Amino acid sequence: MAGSADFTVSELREELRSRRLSVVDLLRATVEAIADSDAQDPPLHAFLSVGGEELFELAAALDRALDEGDEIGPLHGIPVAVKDNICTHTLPTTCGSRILEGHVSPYEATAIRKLRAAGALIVGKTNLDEFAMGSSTENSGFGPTRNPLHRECVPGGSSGGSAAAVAAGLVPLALGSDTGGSVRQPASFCGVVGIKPTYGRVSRYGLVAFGSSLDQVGTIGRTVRDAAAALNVIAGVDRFDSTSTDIPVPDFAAGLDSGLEGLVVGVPREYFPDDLDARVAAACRSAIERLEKLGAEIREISLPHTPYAVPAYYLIANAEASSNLARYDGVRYGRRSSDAESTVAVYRETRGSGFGREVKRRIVLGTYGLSAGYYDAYYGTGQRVRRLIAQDFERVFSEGVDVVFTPTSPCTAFRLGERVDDPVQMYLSDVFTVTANLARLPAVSVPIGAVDGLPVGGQFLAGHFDEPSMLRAAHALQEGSA
Amino acid sequence: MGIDRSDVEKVAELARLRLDEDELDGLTRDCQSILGFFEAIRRVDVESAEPAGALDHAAPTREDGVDQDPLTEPLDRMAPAWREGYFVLPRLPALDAEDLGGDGG
Repeated sequence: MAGSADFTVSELREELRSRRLSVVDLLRATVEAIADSDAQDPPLHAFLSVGGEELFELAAALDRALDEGDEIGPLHGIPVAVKDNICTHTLPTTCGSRILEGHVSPYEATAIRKLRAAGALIVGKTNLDEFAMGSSTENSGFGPTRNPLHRECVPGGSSGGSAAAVAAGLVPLALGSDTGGSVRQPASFCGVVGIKPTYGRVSRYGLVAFGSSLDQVGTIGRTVRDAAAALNVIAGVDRFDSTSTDIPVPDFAAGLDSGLEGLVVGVPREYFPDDLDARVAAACRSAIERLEKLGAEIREISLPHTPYAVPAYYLIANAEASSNLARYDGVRYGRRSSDAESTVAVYRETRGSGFGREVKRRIVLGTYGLSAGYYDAYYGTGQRVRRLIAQDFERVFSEGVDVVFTPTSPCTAFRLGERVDDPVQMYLSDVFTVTANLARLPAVSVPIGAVDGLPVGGQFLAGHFDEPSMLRAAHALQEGSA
Repeated sequence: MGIDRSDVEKVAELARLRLDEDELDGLTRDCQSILGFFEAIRRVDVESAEPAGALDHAAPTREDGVDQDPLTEPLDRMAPAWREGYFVLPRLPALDAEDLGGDGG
């Protein structure tokens, strides 16, 4: 078998439980499949690091437990890939940046601790746009990841390595992070499922901070059920993250099959502008027809502040990033520029040589937007527009809409290099995903069709902590498309 | 709300970010283009809107106890330079000046 190939998590669990497959063999197949994917021309380059001997020792221990009928958790023996901005102490955490090359975190993220407690094997760390800043994974300091369905195209970003690893069948599950669409947009480009939970649903402890009021850890799988099962494992309040919310975590998989009868699906007209790629629009129309046939009530709605979401998002995200990235100064960890001769020169030279162009761009814009005389005009306005965008959603949910359906991205996967010199075009890839982060809503991308062999993703959003409704809709659409 | 080369240079200095001349030119162009795009947001009537903030999700309080974060790696393993329990940095030029001109006291 090549990696986990076409098996779902529940199928793999059954193979492992029945002992038709051993954890060690599954791990070996996974590691070999990753190596094969990088030996091809051009290489997939989904992973930045892969576990070694200690991982096989762990797999053998998980096999011994199964031999004794002891399953330690719902992901016992399941290989999981992790975006390289989530801290692990068994593998380096580089954030795709030269400034953290080789850095091993002194602690583990809560999401990783929970995955391990559920029996998962953290097989490797996946490539990303540097510090999760990008929409194509081309901003990685270690070279781009390619789309497994079309190697000349990008996998999306910033969790491009995680989405590519799942889409290529190397692993059944991966973790990503989503600050403005970084789980959902690559899921859409690679034809897999990506969940961005409600802000506060999953602990951010150990997720390297980019935009702290926007960041969430998310899950990527081939099916809604798999991604939902992984979300169940990592969700919940955490004493190490004061922004995680103390609210019960439902069984996200339990209601998936309950159908769409009576579900009100809002379709916002602002997400279907005249210049939307006609083929993406057609795939969405077809999905809306399927939702209706499955029993959902379709309602046209308006979210009038949508056109201002991208500028509001980037004003806020850049400001938070410029503050969060101040810690990379060559003093406590990571790389230091060796020829600096004063303390300030250490900071300047280390940051100047360690950060890539997009990160520098965002630090400059964020610092500018927070500086005296500009704060109100930029960051303050961004925060006010953020409030208006959140109020748009509050209104439609209070008027009886259960979930909102939109395209995940205005386009399918674009070619490598196509947008790299045009930051505004790159930012516009996020036009339909940033609103969920600004309003702190849960959202999921699910495959709804394909154009010229490239997948199209549809996005469902729901009210705060109402992941079950959006997952139910996404599951029905995915099953109905099968 | 235009940004020019000297603004970028000043902001980069504040952010302790060394930029070479080519980078400075490129970043100035990028920032002008991006801030131009952001201008659209000025059309929104934000007078009545409160800024989104912590009020939406107030941080809950908890017992003020010591909750040690277990580090699996000691700090000296991560630090670029470390000696006798301290991070090491280049000597401050001001101290060198003191040595040269000081009275030894």
